[in-house]
Amino acid sequence: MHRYDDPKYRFDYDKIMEMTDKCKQWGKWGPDDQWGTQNYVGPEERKHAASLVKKGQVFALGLNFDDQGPQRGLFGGRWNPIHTMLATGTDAVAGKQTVPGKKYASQYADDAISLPLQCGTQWDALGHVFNQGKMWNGYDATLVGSRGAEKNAIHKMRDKMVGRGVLLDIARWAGVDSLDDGTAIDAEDLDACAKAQGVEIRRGDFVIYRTGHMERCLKNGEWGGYAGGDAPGVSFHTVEWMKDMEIAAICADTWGCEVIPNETDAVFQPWHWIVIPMIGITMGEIFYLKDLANDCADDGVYEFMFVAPPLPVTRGVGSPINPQAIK
Amino acid sequence: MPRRYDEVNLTMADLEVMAEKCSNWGKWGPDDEIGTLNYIGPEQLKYAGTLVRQGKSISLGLDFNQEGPQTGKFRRFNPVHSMLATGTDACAGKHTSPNIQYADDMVTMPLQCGTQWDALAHIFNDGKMWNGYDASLVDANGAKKNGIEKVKSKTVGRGVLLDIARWAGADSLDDGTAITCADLDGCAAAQGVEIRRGDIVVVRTGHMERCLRNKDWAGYSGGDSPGMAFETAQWAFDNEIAAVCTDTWGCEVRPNEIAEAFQPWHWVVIPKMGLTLGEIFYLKDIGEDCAADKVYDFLFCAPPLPITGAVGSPINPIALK
Repeated sequence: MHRYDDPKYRFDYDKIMEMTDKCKQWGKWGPDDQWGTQNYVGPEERKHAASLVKKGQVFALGLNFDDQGPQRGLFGGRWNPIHTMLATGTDAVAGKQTVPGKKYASQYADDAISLPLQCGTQWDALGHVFNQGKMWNGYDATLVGSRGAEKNAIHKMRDKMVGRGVLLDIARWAGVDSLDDGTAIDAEDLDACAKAQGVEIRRGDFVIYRTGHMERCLKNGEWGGYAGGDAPGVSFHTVEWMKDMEIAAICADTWGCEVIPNETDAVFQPWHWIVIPMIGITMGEIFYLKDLANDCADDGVYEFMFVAPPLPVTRGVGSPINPQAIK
Repeated sequence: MPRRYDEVNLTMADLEVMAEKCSNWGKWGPDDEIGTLNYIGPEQLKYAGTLVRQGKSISLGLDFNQEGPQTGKFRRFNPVHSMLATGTDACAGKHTSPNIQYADDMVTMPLQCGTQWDALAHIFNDGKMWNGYDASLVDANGAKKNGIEKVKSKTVGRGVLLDIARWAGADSLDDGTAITCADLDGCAAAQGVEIRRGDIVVVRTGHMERCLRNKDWAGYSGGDSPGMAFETAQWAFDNEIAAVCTDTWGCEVRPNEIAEAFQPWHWVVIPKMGLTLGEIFYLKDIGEDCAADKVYDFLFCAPPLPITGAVGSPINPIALK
């Protein structure tokens, strides 16, 4: 691990362009592909994943969606979910609910929500981030207009997002409750943590790494800059690891997976520029990992069946989720 | 074979009797908020894992968009999806500070406008909800008890499809057709599948597919529909199943079999029995797959969004075979 401002790891725009070319996987699964690295997950991977259900226990990795969420308007005008009632028990008890033609009143509650699709625990669709006007597989960024994404939308992933999950508990491995903001995780750290945990990363895995950032905020009762501000996370220099390991997805307990401040002043979220549009990796963010991590530390088993179906919002570029780790 | 809704003569007295017979209040202690999902334990989960034999993943979620089944009835509307940032903006040079080209979006929707779970706080019976909690615990700030977030890790288990439409030899059951206890048992027997404690039972009527084929939702949401007969509350209770899900708007037959009450089966199964209901499931693909390989059970996983205090959640249920 290193600090984001360690001169040894600083880079400029040219480096981003170099990695853009080096990691480009456009066409790998044909010109019409909209699944990217989800292609690595096939029947064998799913069968193996199910065989990991050994003790019959489910861990929800979704943070509750409510007005106490992490959004503070730091990026993109995102807000926390607004949950409103369309019908309530108080209405019912007060006799406000009648159905025409029915002698006895129906009593029910109903509700609605308004939320940015990436305000909480979430998938980024492959249509979420562009690199020089292009998105995954070379599609033009202008295919994502006011009516949503005509390519690489989240609804294309409706039956994906199932496979073998692996937790890399970087914080615990490093002996801390939480990595400090600005701490960059190197590829060597990912490998060493896996080794220390006795787990092997395989093609088609859903790799989930824990920095402890969310738990630090929850413990402090203060989100601070969690959503869009400084954070621990993976170094830009892990982009080749992400590609070479042939993983299906990468997920973290932070807002944006990569270290902030970024290791360059040239652009914002340079790692995103590569992993989503060039490699075609689906990214999961704002994962709640406390319970799962405690269990993995207890039983020493860091692999599990992972199921995190997105809401198939037509042409959406993200989806709120409640990922399930089943051990 | 399924019968018409008006072939029985039921009254509010029958509803009251059924509600008492099928009550599970207190069964899992006075503080329980998850009801029949308690039937799914480690053994059921481990067994569900063994059902993934082909490595196949099938989605039971209808896409969420403006073409959904809502008409405004009961104040429910289809999802409104709008963009907060777009690729067109990015290409027009609008994303320079911070310097990242991206798209972002939001949705506004009733939680039960599409494929969905009802939370146990969704329906009341005589001012009470599941486990005896007072209905007034669900106020403008949401549900203080029985909210959907309480089941955030609980909707995983063995799923069983009962393809009633196919068993009855129909593309879709007609509106007003009631599926009886004998139909559920007969269909299960014909399919060679056994219903067990803790199962998530998925019932296909063909109603949604009829609407999709006709390109007209018509009365799908809140109008007439095929569905569960009132008597099947007893079937769900006796079989100790964890959840019932259907490809209709409201699970039970409409018009209802008890003329005086709206959705009388709901009055029993949610607040009294503590049964979780799934509605508006897209069952075409799973129906065809099961008919082809004759395997009607699978690992079922349909995590709700844990919206604090919500009385429902949009979902994308996954069947793994």
